[in-house]
Amino acid sequence: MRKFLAIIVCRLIKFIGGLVGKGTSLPGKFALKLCPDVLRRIELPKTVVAVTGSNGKTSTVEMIASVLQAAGKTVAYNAEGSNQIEGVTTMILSSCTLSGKMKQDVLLIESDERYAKLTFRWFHPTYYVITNLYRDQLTRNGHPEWVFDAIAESIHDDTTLLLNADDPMVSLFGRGRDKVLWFGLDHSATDTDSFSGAYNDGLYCPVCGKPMVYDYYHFNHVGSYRCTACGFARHGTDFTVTGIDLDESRITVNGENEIRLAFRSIYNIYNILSAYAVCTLVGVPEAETARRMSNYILKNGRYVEFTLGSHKGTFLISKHENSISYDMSLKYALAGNKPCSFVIIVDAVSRKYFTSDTSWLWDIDFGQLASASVKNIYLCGKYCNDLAMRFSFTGIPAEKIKVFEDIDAACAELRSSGDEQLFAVTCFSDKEKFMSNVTVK
Amino acid sequence: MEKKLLHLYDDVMNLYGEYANVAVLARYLRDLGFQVQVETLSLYETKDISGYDFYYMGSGTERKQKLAMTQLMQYREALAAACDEGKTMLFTGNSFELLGRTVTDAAGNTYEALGLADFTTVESKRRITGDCIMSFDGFPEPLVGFINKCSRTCGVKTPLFQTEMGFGNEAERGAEGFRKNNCLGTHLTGPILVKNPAMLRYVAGLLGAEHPEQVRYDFMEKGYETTVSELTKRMEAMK
Repeated sequence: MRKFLAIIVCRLIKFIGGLVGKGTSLPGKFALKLCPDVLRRIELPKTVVAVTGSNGKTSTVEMIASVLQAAGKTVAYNAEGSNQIEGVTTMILSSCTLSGKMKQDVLLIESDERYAKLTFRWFHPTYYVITNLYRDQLTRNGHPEWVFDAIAESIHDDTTLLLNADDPMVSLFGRGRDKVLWFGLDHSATDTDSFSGAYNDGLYCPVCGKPMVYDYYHFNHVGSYRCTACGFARHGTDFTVTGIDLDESRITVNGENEIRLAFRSIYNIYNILSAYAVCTLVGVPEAETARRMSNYILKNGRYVEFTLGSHKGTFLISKHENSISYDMSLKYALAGNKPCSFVIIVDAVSRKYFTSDTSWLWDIDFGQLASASVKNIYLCGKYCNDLAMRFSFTGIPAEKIKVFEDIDAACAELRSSGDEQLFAVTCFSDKEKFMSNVTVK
Repeated sequence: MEKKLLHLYDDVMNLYGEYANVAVLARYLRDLGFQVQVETLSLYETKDISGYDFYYMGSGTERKQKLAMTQLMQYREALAAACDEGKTMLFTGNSFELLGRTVTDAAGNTYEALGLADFTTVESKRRITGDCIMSFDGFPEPLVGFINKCSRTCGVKTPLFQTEMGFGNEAERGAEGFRKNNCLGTHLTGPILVKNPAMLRYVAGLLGAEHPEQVRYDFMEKGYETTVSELTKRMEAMK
């Protein structure tokens, strides 16, 4: 009876909330008040897939859902990104019958890293993808090891983990555990022998604290590592990107299945690979999965082409308080090796909570932009001075740096001068402040 | 005149961009006319650490802090001597806890620390994070910054700052940090010398700069004003 009431109340509030444009966590919150263990009482699909980690959750979930649906499977998933227990509850109670049975083939959950343990207290995922553990929103999350400990509490023995073998911290979840499948990238031409980045979280072994060595780096501390003392090392992989050809925008998975890339970023390749793994485990044949993922364009607006005056530009979403996200955007932009200018905006550090902390700017490898192909760099928004101070330590000539607190004023200058390629790099919280100045086809 | 700066465990105690504290201090001292030499001590390195003018350590994860403190114990006497001689030392974030007697982790294991004073630190499973405003008797400008810790530090008899907004050593508001001679400890994380021009001038003063105010960095001053204004608004709103 309580379960029934929780389902009804949840849907009612969701309906009303939908009318007034409110979020998706409130209905679940009320449902959980009425029936705290409602998630245990729902009859879930045979296959439950969960995705967590610092970066790539939303994109990975979106791709999994798209491929599974195209292959004829029914999927319930939290597309709207409310990924704590309240949002997951809203999604589940809105997708089940009034008697509490989910009729879909697959339940697919994007889960917040720190609060996954609250959700998976009530049911355990069949497959649990952990994408990566980076320095992300440290003003809330503390640090990656703190998040590691929180995720560890959400893992149960009956779940099969899908782990990123190239990320040392993520690999630690699989230590001494049977039910693990690994994904990762083989050595490729885009790798480097030496580390690049503003800080190195792969210097010391996460198990014993002794120095680690790398055979190669895919990016930052992600690559092929091994401890010099305790034997901890990158695990062999079950799902592998065996070939990368960024010039031709394609990758090869497991030696034979080619996937064409709509977005040529190594970062995106990990999302594709883990989504590929899930889809094939759930029963979509490998060749079909590869075909359906080819040229897949993410719907979540993380990459937008625009024009501003005579400039053609690309907007690259990069999460504030997440240095690797920025590093990847800069790397992507520079890969073209054509004359270009950058617009970097830090105006609201977060749209969800208050902080004025800009320490994370020092973790971003802005030194990458010390390249002859980079013409000007516009630093904009409320924290333009913090950005300028950070840039004064990059070796980029001061005359290339233009500091504008007013984003519109920076855009006005660009509109009236120059025609080089532009790259705009900022977060969701500041995206519209820039996009309102440009034309999107 | 030459100034030698030593960045302790920059490879593991650099969780919130703290390397910038040493970078900005080195630039500032050079611009003030000093010859500056910056050296680092990495985690498993052994070297003579006497004879430096400035010692710095930043924050690490709880596990990395324990690795660092275990290694740092071999320099206990050298650091105590440096403190007694009045050398300038700055320990920010949870490295400040190493100046006390012990640090106890959330599982109850107790680690011996440098023991420059009798205070103790106990970690928990609760994270304390937040933007801060602090006051200091060394200069009139308020300090801004961020606290990101999971510990309480008790028994500090000579605190460094007074917290106006944010968490102090033991409680919301209250006394924060530790001072003995020119050895300064605070839980403030990140590049506090970039965020607080007055603190940069103050530290340069301790290092012998007679007129540190002669050199100013415009972006730094303006960035500070923005943060002070944002945090003051926040503090007023919370009242």
